[in-house]
Amino acid sequence: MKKDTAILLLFIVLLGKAETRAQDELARQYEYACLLMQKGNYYDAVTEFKRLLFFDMRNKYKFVANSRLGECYKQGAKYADAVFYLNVALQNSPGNKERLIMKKEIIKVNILRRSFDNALQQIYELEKDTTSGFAEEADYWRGWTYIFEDDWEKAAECFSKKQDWQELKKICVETDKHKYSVTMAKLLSVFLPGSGQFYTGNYMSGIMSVGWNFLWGYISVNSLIENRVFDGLMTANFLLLRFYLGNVQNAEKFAENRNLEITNKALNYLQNNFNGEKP
Amino acid sequence: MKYLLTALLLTASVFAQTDWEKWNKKENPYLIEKNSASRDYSLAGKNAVDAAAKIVIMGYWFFISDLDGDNCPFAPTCSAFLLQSVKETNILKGTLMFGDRFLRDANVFNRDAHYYVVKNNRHYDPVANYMLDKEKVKSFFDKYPDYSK
Amino acid sequence: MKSYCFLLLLIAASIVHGQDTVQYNIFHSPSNIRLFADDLFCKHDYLRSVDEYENYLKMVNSDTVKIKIGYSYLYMEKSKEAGLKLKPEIDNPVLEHAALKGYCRSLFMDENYCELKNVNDKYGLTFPAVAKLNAFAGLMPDMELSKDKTDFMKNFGNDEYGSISGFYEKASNPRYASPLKAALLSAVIPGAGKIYAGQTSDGIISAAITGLFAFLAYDNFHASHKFRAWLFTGIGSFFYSSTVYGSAAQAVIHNAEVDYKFTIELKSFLAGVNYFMGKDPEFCK
Repeated sequence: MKKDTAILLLFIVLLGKAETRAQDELARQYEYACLLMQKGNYYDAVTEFKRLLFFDMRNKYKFVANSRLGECYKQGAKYADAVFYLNVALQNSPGNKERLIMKKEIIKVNILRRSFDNALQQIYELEKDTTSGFAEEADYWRGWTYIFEDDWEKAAECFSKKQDWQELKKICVETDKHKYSVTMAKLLSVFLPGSGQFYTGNYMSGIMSVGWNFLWGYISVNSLIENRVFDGLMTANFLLLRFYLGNVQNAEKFAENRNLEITNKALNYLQNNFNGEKP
Repeated sequence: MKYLLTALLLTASVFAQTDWEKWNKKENPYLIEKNSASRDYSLAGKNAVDAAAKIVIMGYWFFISDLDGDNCPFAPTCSAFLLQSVKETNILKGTLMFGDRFLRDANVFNRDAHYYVVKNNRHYDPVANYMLDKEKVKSFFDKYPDYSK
Repeated sequence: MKSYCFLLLLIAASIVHGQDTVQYNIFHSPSNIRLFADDLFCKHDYLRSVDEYENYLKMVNSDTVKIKIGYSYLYMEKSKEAGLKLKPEIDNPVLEHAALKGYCRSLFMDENYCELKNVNDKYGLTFPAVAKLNAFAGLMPDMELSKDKTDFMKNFGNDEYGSISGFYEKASNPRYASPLKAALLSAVIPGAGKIYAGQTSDGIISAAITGLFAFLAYDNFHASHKFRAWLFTGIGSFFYSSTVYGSAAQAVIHNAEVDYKFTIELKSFLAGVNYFMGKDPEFCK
């Protein structure tokens, strides 16, 4: 009897040890995959997370591995895949806290992939859910959505709602202040050829636009005055009009290019130098 | 229609798998990419004749083309087309190709169907298609399949 | 005695069970790598599965795995890599000669019809599918097509007869435009060559512009405005020469387009019949 009990106990111990080893190996696999991720080998990290999920028979790592997969794909700018895996992680979230984190991650990915309607809709839905605790930071993420949408004025409005967000508000206000008005540039060039280019700081282009427009304008008017109507109309249509429209187009293009430079400068700062939470 | 569907299915299966090519971390995902192409004003690596031709064209760009607006519906623009065609063939053939391009530019009908590849809001019309070399044209179709055909 | 046997049985059972769970402990063991790679393959994550299969082959030699690597590349439409992986296995009968079939497919995808012919010379008699594919390659533009239709069609069965017969007729009589004829037509009537080559609006515009400058030149000569007349003559001649050249170029483009459309038709048909190779091996059951 004693012998049989001893044998049974031995069997149970052996079984338990094997199970523990299995779980240890999964943990080691998870750590290895995370290490690859930390080193920036995202493609290989994805492979190892997928391996972990394949061998994780009890789905112990389903949430955390899928969330890591979403993070890896986000780093590689594979946003469709990122959203897919984050959604799987969301469906397997163990609790409300994790659910909120995953929903926020999905919002961040939608901001990065510039799906602004999706991001704003998700922010709104999450804000409505009073149990999530997201309401306090809804405007923060709304602000980030507007930043990526290049609407710095609206972004500044969102960030002005809390004291902690003043740094971002300041950046948005400054960026908006430095931007050129495309409409103003076009209007200036409509009324005075070359002035739109001066407004955007492209002085050489402005001077040459002034020159060409006044030259062809003078020739056209002079031809009409001297009753050379056909010559006047040809010069006005093929030369004056061409350079006039070109001047307006250039004013618009230069204003847009300058604005793009200003936006990218701000975005670059936010990406590399801003330490707060960001997409 | 069946060819369009086949092509779409094939394309969908390819793009459904972004991991069929190895990828790395994307640098600067925040930045907005600039769409428009800029002029190449460099004279690097050119012999005297090419440099002289390039200087003339650059003069045209600087004093005239950059000021009279984006009128050319094609990419490369007509002046860039002339430069490239002269460089890749010879002055005579290049000039004839340029003249033909000018005439095609004047035709405002049927552009979307004829020049179905669009880059930076311009119809892509490369020099290689007009060098009387069928293989070069075939490479163009292989690279830019037209699913409406 | 009974209890000792019982003890031995229990220990054996726990070891066996332990082995099952020990498998989880060694994720990079050959068997586990194979399991994971098969899963990746069935989920169409082919590049990853290739890496895993390559790792597996470093430890265990397996013909099936080598063929699966080749097929992974085939499914990713990387025909060159597929060919490189499948060629060493073409004599291998595993999976109903899957390697040979896959290799022939890769050669066709790669447009390597010369090598396909060599493979056909060696295997065509034993494998009708290879002979069919090789014969079908003769339909591709710029390939030499047998002038005897009956001789060509004997390679194919009744199922395919209708479609391939149609392809044969098209391949024998492609609707090409002659660049020389196009140039000559435009030399006689500016723009006519472009219309012949399929670009009607281009031809009309070319005719109109060349005609306009010809008229301006004539008109100015008539009015004795010598400078303007010669200027318009020069511009008109330039556009005239450009039209002639452009007509020839347009004919070349037209011919390339005819070939392209036909190639799409042929490839679409081939995809439908899986390159005559029958069903692919059922790797994922």
